Amino acid sequence: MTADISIVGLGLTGVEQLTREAERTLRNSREVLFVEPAIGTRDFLEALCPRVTPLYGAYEAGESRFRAYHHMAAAVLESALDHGPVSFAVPGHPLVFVYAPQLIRDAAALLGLSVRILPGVSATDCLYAALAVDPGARGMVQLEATEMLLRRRPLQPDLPLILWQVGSVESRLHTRSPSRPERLDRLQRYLLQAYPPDHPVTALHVSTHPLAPDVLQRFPLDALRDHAASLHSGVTLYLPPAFERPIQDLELLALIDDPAHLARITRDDL
Amino acid sequence: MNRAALARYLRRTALDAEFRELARRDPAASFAPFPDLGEDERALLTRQDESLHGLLALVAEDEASPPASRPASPPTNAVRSLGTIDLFLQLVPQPADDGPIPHAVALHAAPPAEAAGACFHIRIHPSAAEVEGGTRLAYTAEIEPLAGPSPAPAGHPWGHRADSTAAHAAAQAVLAAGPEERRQLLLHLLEAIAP
Repeated sequence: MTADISIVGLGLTGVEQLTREAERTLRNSREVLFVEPAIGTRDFLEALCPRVTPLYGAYEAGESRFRAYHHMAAAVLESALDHGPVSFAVPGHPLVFVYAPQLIRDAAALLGLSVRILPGVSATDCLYAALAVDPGARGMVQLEATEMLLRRRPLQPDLPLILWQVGSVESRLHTRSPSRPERLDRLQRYLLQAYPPDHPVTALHVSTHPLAPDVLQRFPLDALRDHAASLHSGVTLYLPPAFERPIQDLELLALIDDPAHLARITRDDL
Repeated sequence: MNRAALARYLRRTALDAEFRELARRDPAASFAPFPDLGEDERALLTRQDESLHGLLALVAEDEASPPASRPASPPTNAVRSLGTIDLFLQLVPQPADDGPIPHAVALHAAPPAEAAGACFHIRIHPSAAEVEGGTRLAYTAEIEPLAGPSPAPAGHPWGHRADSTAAHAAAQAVLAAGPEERRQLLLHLLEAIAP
């Protein structure tokens, strides 16, 4: 059954990463509203749906990004109330660092509208591929830069760290101006409490066009502020672990390859 | 620089997989349908390295169009926000032997100086829409317990209050409204969910 609102992740590299499920949903929508398109996305959407509405002009310099998210969400909800089913198409994954879909979900529930989320390839997925990192190997910490500083979240330097939104750290207001080094001072100081100054940092910007490569910058942690101008809002930082935490539970270690232990913790009624 | 030609080339390489393969394998051949591409752009498009991102940004900027032009409401239907009216409701419990507790009720225009009983902040959002035959006023309201500043850890800069009374009331107002009022009332609803 088609939802009143489908929130569709387009993937990041043009429309190359779009799923067949997403394409079918966009085709069945009466209107597709979209934000921050990659080059060619609009043409692609217009080939699928007769009514395509860009919302990316909602951002205004110096205004809260949240104001823009409210306007995006209101436009989508209004269309769904008026002539659903509609789709809201966003780059990447619709629930990975995209706030308007959360607003839409919450408001739609109060308005009796059904919502379906269709996953897309996120920046995290691209980061795993670009850096050949497996989050299942030893776990991974992901933090939003401003939120981490606000709450002084404890760092776990024995785990890989993905740090989001470094380019917009310390402000919720929208701007396209490059950052000054001073913007990253507080963040750099905070990270240096847990990591050594020469700890390697990788900054990744996932390309939005299939002809352009991803942009990878590598530098020591104490040079973070010097890269402020190139760390825009589309850049994600990756810090590998600073050390390996030794195994503490030797009793469990002895059991994990023991067939008798497996027999004890599984049922035999298959 | 011919940005229009550049945009056409980048759009085609984004959307046409066969053409994209040609662009990767033999960039010079891929320029044939785009005779107006400049030499500088051809050089960048041939290298296909990180410097392409500058061109992508330029084209993306050109493609960005003004905010969604929703079906324009006739000016007579324009919904105007009329600001916010703030009221403070104070309930002071009175002595009672048994049964329901009676309250002294007072409504203030500012937070009461005396912190007795419970106090609620009521925000009323009036809006006006010009409709056939005159002006129609609509109101939505939010009510929240008035407390001292909450400790920082309790707040959440990305927090939601989707289950609040104010959000439910705002949703009802949206559902009861006509199409000409809906956008403004939806914004009130979203404000109630995520101030």
